[in-house]
Amino acid sequence: MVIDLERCTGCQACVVACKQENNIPFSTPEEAAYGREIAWLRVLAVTERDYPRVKSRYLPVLCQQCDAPPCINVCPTGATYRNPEGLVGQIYPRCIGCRYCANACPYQIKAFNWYNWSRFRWPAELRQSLNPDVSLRPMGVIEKCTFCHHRLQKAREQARAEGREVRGEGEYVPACVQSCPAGALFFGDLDDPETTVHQLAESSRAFRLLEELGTEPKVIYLEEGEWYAAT
Amino acid sequence: MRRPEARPARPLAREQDEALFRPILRTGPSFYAVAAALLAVALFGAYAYTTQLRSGLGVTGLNRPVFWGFYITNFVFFIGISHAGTLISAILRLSRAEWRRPITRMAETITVLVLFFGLGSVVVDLGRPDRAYFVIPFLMHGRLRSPLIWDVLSITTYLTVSSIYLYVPLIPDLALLRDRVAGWRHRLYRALALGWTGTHAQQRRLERVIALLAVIVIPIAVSVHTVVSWVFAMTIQPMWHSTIFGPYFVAGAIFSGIAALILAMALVRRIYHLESYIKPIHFDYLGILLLVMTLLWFYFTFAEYLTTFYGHEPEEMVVFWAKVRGPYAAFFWAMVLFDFVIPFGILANRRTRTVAGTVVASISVVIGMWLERFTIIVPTLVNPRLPWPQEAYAPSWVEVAITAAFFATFTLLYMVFTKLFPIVSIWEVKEGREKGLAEVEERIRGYLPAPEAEAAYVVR
Amino acid sequence: MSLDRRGFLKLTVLSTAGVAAGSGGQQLGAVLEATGTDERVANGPEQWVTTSCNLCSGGCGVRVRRIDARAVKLEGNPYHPLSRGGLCPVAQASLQLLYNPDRIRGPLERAGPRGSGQWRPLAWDEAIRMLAERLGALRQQERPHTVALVLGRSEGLLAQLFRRFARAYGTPNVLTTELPDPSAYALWRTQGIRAPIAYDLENAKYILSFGVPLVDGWWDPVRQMRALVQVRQGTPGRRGKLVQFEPRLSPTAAKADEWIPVNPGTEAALARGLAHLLVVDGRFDRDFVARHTAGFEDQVDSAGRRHGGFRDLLVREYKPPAVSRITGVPEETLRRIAAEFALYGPGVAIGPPAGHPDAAAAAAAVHALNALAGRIDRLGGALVARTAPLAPWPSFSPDTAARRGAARAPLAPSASFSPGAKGAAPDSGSISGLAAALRSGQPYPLEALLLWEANPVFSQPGSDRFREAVGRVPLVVSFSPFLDETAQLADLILPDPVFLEGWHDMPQPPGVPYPVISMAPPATDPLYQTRHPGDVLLETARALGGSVARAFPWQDFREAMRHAARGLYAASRGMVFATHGQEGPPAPLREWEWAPMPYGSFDEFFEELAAKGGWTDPSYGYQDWKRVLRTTSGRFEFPALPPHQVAPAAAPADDPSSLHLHTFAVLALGEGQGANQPFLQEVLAPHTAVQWGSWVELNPETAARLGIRDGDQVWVQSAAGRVAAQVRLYAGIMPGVAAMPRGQGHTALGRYARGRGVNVMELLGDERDPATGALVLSTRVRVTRA
Repeated sequence: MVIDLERCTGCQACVVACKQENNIPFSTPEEAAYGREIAWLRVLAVTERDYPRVKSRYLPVLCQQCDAPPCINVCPTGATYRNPEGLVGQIYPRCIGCRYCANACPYQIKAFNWYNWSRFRWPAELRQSLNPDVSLRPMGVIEKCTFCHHRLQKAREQARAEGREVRGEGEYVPACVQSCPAGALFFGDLDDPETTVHQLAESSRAFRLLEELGTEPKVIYLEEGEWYAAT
Repeated sequence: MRRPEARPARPLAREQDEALFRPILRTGPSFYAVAAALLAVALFGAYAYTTQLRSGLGVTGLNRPVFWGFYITNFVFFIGISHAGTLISAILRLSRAEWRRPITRMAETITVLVLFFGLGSVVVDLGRPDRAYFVIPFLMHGRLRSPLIWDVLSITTYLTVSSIYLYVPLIPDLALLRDRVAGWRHRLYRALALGWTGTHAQQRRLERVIALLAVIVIPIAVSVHTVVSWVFAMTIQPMWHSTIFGPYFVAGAIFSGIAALILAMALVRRIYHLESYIKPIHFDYLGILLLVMTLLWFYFTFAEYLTTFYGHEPEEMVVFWAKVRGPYAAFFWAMVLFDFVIPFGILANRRTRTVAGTVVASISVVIGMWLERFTIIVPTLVNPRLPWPQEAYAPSWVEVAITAAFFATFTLLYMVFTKLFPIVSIWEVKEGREKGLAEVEERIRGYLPAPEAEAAYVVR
Repeated sequence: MSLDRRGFLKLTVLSTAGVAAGSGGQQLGAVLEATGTDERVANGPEQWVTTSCNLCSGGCGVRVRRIDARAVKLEGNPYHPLSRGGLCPVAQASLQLLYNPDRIRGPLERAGPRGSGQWRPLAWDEAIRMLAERLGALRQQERPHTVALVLGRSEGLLAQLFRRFARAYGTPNVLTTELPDPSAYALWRTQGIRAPIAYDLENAKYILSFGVPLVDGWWDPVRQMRALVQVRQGTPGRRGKLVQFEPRLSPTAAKADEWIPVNPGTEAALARGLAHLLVVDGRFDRDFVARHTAGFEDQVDSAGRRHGGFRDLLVREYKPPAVSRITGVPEETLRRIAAEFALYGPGVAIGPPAGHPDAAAAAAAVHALNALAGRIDRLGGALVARTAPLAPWPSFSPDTAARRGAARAPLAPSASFSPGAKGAAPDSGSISGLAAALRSGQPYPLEALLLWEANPVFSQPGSDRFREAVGRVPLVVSFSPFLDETAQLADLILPDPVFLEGWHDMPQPPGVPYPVISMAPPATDPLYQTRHPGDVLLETARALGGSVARAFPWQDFREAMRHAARGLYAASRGMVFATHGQEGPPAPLREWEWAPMPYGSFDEFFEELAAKGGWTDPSYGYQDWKRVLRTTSGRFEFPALPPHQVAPAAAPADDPSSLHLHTFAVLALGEGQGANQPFLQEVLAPHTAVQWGSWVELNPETAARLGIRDGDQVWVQSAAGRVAAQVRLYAGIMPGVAAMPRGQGHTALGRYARGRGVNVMELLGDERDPATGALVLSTRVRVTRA
């Protein structure tokens, strides 16, 4: 995934799209105030410098799907694992809820089911909006961004039915990418030189979050540019 | 060495250590009163835990990003206390420190009991305790890559070995008890005594097993707390990712272990009137050991924080400042006060290294070491690398209740243990009295150079 | 305490039993249930329906994913020419509107005293009969003018249907709670056209925004976000620039290339100061000014008197030092920005939005800046929207009663300017005037009040005043799908379906230069006994009979919409979203005519229109002076405005502890409509950690002066009232200014909205922009620690 920070306006459509797509329970005011809200994708605001030169930047952070994920090594049961596509998966029925992976993740992006949300949070009316492609997580387990893996599975089934491989781009995008009103999010196979994401990743604006930690994230950010006088 | 005290005329062996049998044979109302109070605390903790089971970990004060708090602090703390025991008793045994005799049992009991609470703390911390057995390696999903699995392995090994290490030296005493009581207790002791009659062959076998266990248990104990430290050090989080965490944690564990032992000694001595068994000299010697650990603790802490400060890595410094002058400064400086200033002040001075003095120092160290575990765990989590909204951590009533219940239940079990088994090893004390003096005399003679040998050297 | 062994055992058993019996036993049962394994959601056949979002004026294209009958996700329609597959968080969260547990399930009649919350469910027939009887009786008594309609939006076919109803029934009292757009005022004053200015943002390379919240929910936020991308990245090697003048570092200011803090309410002076610099430095478009403008140079009238022109005013009154003093913008910044605006075009100056003090005068001044720079009706400049060629509804003749009623003086005459619907008569009243008129009973008492998408008790300052005023009306009818603050006071509630459940049209979004409209089918079946307000109006008209019924010759609202769509078919231009066999979305603003659409019949066309979600004609002919300069002189008329006065709300008081309160909308909440959707309560503003609440932003310097620290609970006190909120120190706000979000502090609207934060409307006085009658959304406050 590539995130163009110049395009991102911090509107958080991606955040809501993710929650709606992945059956993420909403919080209560008390829980939210105490850091209990579940969000697989969050938009951070980084405010730098003092008035009046102050600058504020928006940074959407989701699971970086590291190639060397610190969370996977520490998981005692293999509930967090790296799947064949290179995504960091989470097997809910195997998670014992020790939250070690959440602590080991330098991006602090894993979320924990503090309550039995799936059973008690949605009123009957709101349960109707749940997505059947995504299971509801039980109490006490860690959950995380899957790059909308269920969509990939659908795309793969489609490709198999048509007797071909899944293309590097355009077959499917995660809900956040699909929703972004500014088109700031790009999705595709980074290894495929034909894809937009591959080309953007080569850009001089490209950087990765906390790259120095050696986690080798697969989410690539593009820095905001500066205006320059042109004639 | 102090001069042995003048010995009164000795009564028969059977009556000789009557004081050590007394706690088992007679129980006063105050025991039940205390036990009831502790049980009430424990039951309230159980109620708190069912609340947590039903509603989820949301009833704790944990949040994102502070995923670990009181429970994991307790885990590290209890595992640390467990070093009281076996490690000290094993080292003292191996070094043939004769003064160990009345205190080894107390130490070993602490170890075995407190390990359950260490493990229990982790289970209580789990979001899915019903799946705790998943961590069993090979049979279930346990993966050897995870430091938590190293913990599971080393702690269960330690628990097993230290249980045996507690049990084996108990056997002769169980036999003594078997011969003195009737009813269900007789049957219990008979079964546990494994047919001990005290023959020479049995004695020899017992001594060899104890010696072997003492050798085995030391590396295991060292490994246990090293591995506990690695739970943190193996991550790349600021101020967790440290190479000295292994020895730092082990030193801290022995430190808190000795303190816990001193407290247990003082209580047992006071409650069961064992002043003639547990003497000021024991407190003095352990006090010196505690002083050494105080200095070692200070050295490690200083080394750890100086390296961080000098390196001045921004991410580490955020945590550093949070501890030193930020929101966790109170905890940090209280830790320094309790772990260093108070114990050092008391123990470095011979005049204050009395029974009361060492007890005060020990209380201080136990509190201080709990705070140390807390200041290691929480400030790192509160200060993530990315600028997440700041969250603080304060325990909820559930965490406090469960923590209190753990301490209460531990004390209760310890009390019950003293009611079932001699808390001072009867046969070892007797053995010391019968053989120790001669052995020590012989040993000391062995240390000293023979005058002839010296002369021979001079001649050459 | 003394206990023996038996006592101890007894105590143990008792306490264990106590815990077990008390709650432990139940708890253990609950534990087993609570730790149940993964739960799956029932699956079913998948289906996609194309429709459009109507939650703001943007009208983004939407595709709804349905599983069985349930709507489970909204996605953007990639063929929508403006939103191009993107959706904002409000649309994404709208399933929480559809499936909100606090929706009204069917018509309700008040059962207890007003506001008691006691209701009696009604059948629709009964409800409509009741309404028609009451309205019919008023017509019988020759008092149709005592009925007032309050509309929450002034554009679109449904709003037109309400106006038509008013005319046919016979009342002059149609009001809107929408704030009149200052840019419409500017366009009317300078170019003689009553419509908001359209901006060619996509083609601009230098945008001077006077406080316009481009990405925070103003006009069509998704289009504007995409336009910003075009400005920056659309032309390789040429990066455009957005300059934001605003007292606060809003999300738009944060995304701007340069944020220039400006004293609140001084945008007019700022625009004229920049104009001054263009004029004195000779950097204005002489050709355009000479050929297409009036009022620039001094004029001598027939009597020989000299009248100062716009140039004279600028040169005399708006010298940089004076402007710098008024606005707080350094002189060198003014000079640099003026030079950049002239050099690095195409540039356009936009704003300010409604709600700013002195917004209308400022909008005219800003638009004059466009004229000076020659940015009128040019590529990347300020345009006049081409509108969709909808077929007008057939004319009708109101009967005498209706004519007489409609001719009566409106209850609350509007301010001097009110844009109203394009082409239609301006709405007849100001909503604040309504409250006053209701309370005084002058010029006549009101007998019935019908509210559609309007919640004045919440959205207008002085909720008590409104509550009392509404309480005096014998019949209050609300179309709200939720029990909002105003609906709570109603006698009759005729609940509107949520947009996903009914046919709806979306008019062209303001600011867009070419027609883009939607006529969208329902995405799901109605969940409850709700009915489209259009259908309710048609049925009521039929029940009223006579000339009223004759004015509405349609079976239902869809048919009325179909009628209008005939115009699109007949125009033989434009296209239904993504037809013509083209894969990608259409490119905007290319100058060519579209080939006539290949539809065999209107029915075929309408079917396609509904299936694809809308129609557009994405072309624009620039410099069509006859079309865009509609003043009597046929020229752009520079506004002859008096020298700038700092608006009262912005005027600093003598008291240094008095601050300017700047209120702002957050994208998620809008003006409070989003507050009942939990997902939206969670995404209020990334720069504060606040969710589900309100906050007060203060500059650290201001806070230090007042002895306030971050996170303190404070009282914010104005002349009108006071509210409590938590302080967030924010370097992105001018010293001396406090900022608070609007849209929170509901006292109704359901469980998720009620009691979240505070309603800043409680702080506002009833100060209005003299030119447009728009409410001024700021005031002066004191902030003290609670």
